Amino acid sequence: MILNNEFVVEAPVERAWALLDEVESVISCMPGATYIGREGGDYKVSIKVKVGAISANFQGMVQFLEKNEAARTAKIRGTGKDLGGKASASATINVKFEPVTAARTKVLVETDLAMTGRLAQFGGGVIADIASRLIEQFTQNLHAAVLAQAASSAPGAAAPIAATPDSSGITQQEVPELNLGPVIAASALRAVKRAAVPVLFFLMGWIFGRFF
Amino acid sequence: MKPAPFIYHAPATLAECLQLLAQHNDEAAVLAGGQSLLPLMRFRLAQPAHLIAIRNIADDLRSIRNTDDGLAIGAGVTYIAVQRSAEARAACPGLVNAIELVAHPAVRTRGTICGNLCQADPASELPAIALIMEARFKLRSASGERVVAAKDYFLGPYMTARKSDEMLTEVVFPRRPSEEKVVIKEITRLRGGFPLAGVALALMRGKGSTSLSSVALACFGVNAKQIRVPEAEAALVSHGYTAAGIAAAADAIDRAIHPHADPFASVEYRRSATRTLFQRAIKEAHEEVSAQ
Repeated sequence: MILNNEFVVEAPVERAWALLDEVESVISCMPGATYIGREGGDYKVSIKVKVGAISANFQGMVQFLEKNEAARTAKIRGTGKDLGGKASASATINVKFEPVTAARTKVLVETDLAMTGRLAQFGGGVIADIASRLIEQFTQNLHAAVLAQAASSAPGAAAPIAATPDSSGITQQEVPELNLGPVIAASALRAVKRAAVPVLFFLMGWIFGRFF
Repeated sequence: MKPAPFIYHAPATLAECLQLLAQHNDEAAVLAGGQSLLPLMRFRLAQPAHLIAIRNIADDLRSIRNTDDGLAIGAGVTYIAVQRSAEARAACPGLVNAIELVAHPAVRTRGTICGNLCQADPASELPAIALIMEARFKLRSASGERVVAAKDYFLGPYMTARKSDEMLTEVVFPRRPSEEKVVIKEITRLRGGFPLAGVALALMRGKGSTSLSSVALACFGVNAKQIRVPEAEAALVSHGYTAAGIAAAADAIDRAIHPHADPFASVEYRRSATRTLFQRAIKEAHEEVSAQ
């Protein structure tokens, strides 16, 4: 399914475009998303989504397929799998920065989302609604990030928010209906607990194989 | 499939229950009838680490009361209890008619009204009834209580205004004028299944032969959530029960809904079904009001 979002930001196109160099900041704009680390050109991400009683914890990769500085377009691909095996999702996101005036930039985000697995049973309508809520929130956060970026790189900017050009200047807005975020720590702990047993067995096997 | 491991709690008081909810928050789920939650857990779509059953909480959650506000239905009240309650039938006949369309007797024996309204399935009948009757939702947490109107309660598919540390302890259906007629119509593939499309309508006649003094209309199963259609309501009130009024309202409904396609029904089918269901519902409601 294809979802279209756009927003206008009060910043020149060069400054808005510069944000794409900070992938971590862009990822942290996604509600419920945590940046885990980098593997070559791939960025590892975890996204926790909770809708009513249903929850999913996607682990996946984000990579830039294309980044055309001249045309101000970028193609980003994300793939993810739920830890509980509920679903896998992949998305191709086309971002385009268009200058409206010298100080305003229009950002167009087109997301092509595909989903398989048990969660996909909920039907396109429901998934599309949830996805577009997430993307709407994402674009709002991205908007705030671009503003913060623009403010920080503006000459002579003295506002306190402008003093932090790093990702801390980005406002991660709370999405009450999606309950995103606070559970990540708890689920990570459970994942560690679950992983502990196989790791233990592996270590035992290794020790036995090595020394006996 | 078996559900993922969870810890079962069965507190004896509401205070304890709310305390558990505050403690476990996002990781907890409240178990009432379990007719939606347990299948979700078995499919492992829902994996709450803590399941808080309300079955041991004494009576006040199981009561159907006629209050000054209207008909108050507690969190533990099953569908069947409402169907059998003379008070509920007298105060809110539309709700009782809608319940008869929900699933099968076996499910209705265990499932609860509040559970249904917490699940907020976009194809469910009860949220549509709650919308047209302007029900009020009492949400309680360990730190307080708030009342949310139906129009602010349903946020999206399976999403409600309830926060994860809150419990829907009671839903209140305000008292409606006795001359109001409520009709609910739906198309299901199998009796008791979730509808492909549905329309709920509450209507009161005005002074003239075709005039309508009030209309409330909601659609279900044809959007990401249940929706009221104010444009259709306004068209019916201004034109009355006339061909023009009905056509204008049907067009307004068509504009308001965003049905999805699945292997059972196309978008066009759902649109056409909604239009037909609306025409049948308004005809039936108007005839019955006229007969009184």
